[in-house]
Amino acid sequence: MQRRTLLIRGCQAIAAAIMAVLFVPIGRFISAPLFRKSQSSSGAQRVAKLGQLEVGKPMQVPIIGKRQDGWTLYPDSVIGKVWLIRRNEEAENPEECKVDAYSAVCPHIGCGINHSPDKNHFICPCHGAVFDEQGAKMNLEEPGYNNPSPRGMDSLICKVVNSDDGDDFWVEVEYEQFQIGLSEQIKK
Amino acid sequence: MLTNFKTWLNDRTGYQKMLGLYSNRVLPNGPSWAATTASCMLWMFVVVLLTGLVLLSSFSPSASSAWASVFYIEQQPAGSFLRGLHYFGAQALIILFGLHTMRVLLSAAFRSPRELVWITGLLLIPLLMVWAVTGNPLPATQKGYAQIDVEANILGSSPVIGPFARQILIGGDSVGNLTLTHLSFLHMALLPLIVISLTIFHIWQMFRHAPTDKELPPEMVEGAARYWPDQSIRNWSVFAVVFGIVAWLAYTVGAPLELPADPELHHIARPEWYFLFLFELRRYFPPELEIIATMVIPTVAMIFLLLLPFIDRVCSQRASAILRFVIVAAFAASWTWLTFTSLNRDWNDAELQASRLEEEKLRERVHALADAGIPPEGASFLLASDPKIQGPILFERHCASCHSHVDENGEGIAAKEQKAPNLYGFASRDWVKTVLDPEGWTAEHMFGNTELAESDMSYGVVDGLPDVAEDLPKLIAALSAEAELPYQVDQDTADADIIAEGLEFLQSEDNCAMCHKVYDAGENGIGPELTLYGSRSWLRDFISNPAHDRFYANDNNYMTAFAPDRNHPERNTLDEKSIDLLVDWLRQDWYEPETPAVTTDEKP
Ligand code: FES
Repeated sequence: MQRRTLLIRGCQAIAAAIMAVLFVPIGRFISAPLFRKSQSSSGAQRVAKLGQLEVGKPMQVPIIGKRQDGWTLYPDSVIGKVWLIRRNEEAENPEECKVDAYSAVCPHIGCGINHSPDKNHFICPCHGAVFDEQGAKMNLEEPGYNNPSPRGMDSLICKVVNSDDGDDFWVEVEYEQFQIGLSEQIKK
Repeated sequence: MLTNFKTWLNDRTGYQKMLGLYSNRVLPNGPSWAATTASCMLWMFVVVLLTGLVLLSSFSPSASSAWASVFYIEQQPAGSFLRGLHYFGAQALIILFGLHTMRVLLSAAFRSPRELVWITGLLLIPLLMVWAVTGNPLPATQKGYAQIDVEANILGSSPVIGPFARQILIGGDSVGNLTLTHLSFLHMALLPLIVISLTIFHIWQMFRHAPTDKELPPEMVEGAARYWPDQSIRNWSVFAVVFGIVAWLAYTVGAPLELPADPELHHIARPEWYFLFLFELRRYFPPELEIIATMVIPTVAMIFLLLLPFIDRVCSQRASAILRFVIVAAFAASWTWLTFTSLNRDWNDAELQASRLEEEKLRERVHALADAGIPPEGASFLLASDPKIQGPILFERHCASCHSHVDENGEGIAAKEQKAPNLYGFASRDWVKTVLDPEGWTAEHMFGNTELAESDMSYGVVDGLPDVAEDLPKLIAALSAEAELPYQVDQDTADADIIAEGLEFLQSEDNCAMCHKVYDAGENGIGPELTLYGSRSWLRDFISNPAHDRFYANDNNYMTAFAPDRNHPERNTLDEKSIDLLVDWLRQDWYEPETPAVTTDEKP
């Protein structure tokens, strides 16, 4: 009986060792997407010339960047959209030009936010979240209206810089993605 | 708790009785080491199946992305290891299959009532072969494509249904997207289904014919060795060793990922080592009888083996023993001899070895490029758009009839007939220095063999420049800086002052600008324009049309215009892409990984 138990323990030990060598790597492989860092920020990027923007009139621009999709690297792909609003007429001194940038991703569940020129506010076509021209959450006067968005539009770091030859201005945006559905703005 | 659950489960399923069939079997002859091949094979099969299933989760069977997805698997945590397990596990399975079959033959275990066990087992052999054949090309490597191409042609050469079967397997005339989806279907769906069914039948029959306690005389049952754990410990020990070897190979060597398929590449196809014996066998038949080696002999051997239980019946004990022994010995001897003859021949084949070495270099390059990201066009695009790879090929094809490209160690591409300068390091400081040196200028490997050797330029270099010897280094730096060579950037920025002075010299109408246009100074028509000399745009325009006003103008009888007609690219010798590749290669402007190339042999 002693011998039999010993042999059984031996079999179990071998089985356990082999299973470990097999299943630990399998677990690591399958769970890899959980630990992959998302490369949501692509650094500051020139998105438009200052002259293209009219004061107070929002304009949507695409953000072009590298996008790694599994095994494929898309070198120039649209990775996001941004609303730009120019705030003043200033066009001499780049530091004093004021432009704001808001991510077009709706903080509710991620639809693309539109702008309604007649009503002069942003509106998400999916579930009707409305934002004012400062990107803040708005409540409409309609009965029963409830803004579904947990927070205002996500504002992005935006600067006006000199062009390389020095006689033009570029609007530069640092595009970033944020988690949706939260009242706080947390980077993805 | 656990015991309660076990009882409950057993009440519902009766699993203990099922397991008992397996584990409580009496071993009338005692436990045996030889008998471990069966269980070893079963468990290896499970390992291969399981790892295959996991790999399937990240594999993309399409011509443009298969290689990339396998490369991606290799980059994932444990991906390389799992792929290695799958790769080496499959090969271990093939070896085990051979050993198991030979053991069964020698012990005559195929005899009545186990004929069907034998037959189903034998049928697994060709299935396993096809399984391997359909798996190897899946990463869409050059090697895999070449292999499946040959294998499909062998299939196609079989009588009557051959051509149709080939067409269906390949999914058309040549290997491509449909081949990959067809192979995946066979490899990951159809074959597993068939093989698993046959295996289950095979094992079920084994149990059916194993004697139960009731059927055996009581004295044999009393105190006899039981399968569990007496045989099991042997099975599992052997399997642990085999699995250990496979895991070790997977960890240290890993499954190879050869060059992505590219029709431009020349590849000498060879089958995997386990098929080499058939490959070698072919050599002994004239081409019109090749089918004997590829089809007839394997089929006849197979049929003979399938019928063996029935042939054996009519043989005497002795004749049967001799027959079985002869089969095993003949197979083992001929397999070994054929395989090693073939390996030996390849090993001594200088051309084959050189081409393998070349492929290995390319493979390393492609892996380095792939590390930086694979574009949507797929991995073969990496090859096709890399100046470092394509440059020498294009140069050899179009330029080397007159130009050489030889570095300071004398290595590189020699001109077939040196009629024009060595272009290694074109427009670099060293190169410009040689050109502007009276001896360098007239040297054979520079302009000595050109008509320019007797031009005004010759007068300038030989008679004019020595007078301004102290300004010459500035001039050289300035002219070379026009090229904006990536490998000279640091030097160029450091010497900005000297370059500015040199540029003045270049622009002086008493010197270079007398015959060359340099920015606003000088005019075109005599010598080539020196503005941005050797830069990307200059070189591109020059190669496209050296007879342009900016270059040799109508005097050009030195060099072919490779793309003079911008509006009709089809009339040109070279397309824009090829010219760009040549230009980037001449300027050594290609991607190099920051850190020394990460080889795939490195393990985490
Ligand atoms: S996603 Fe914008 S409102 Fe729901």
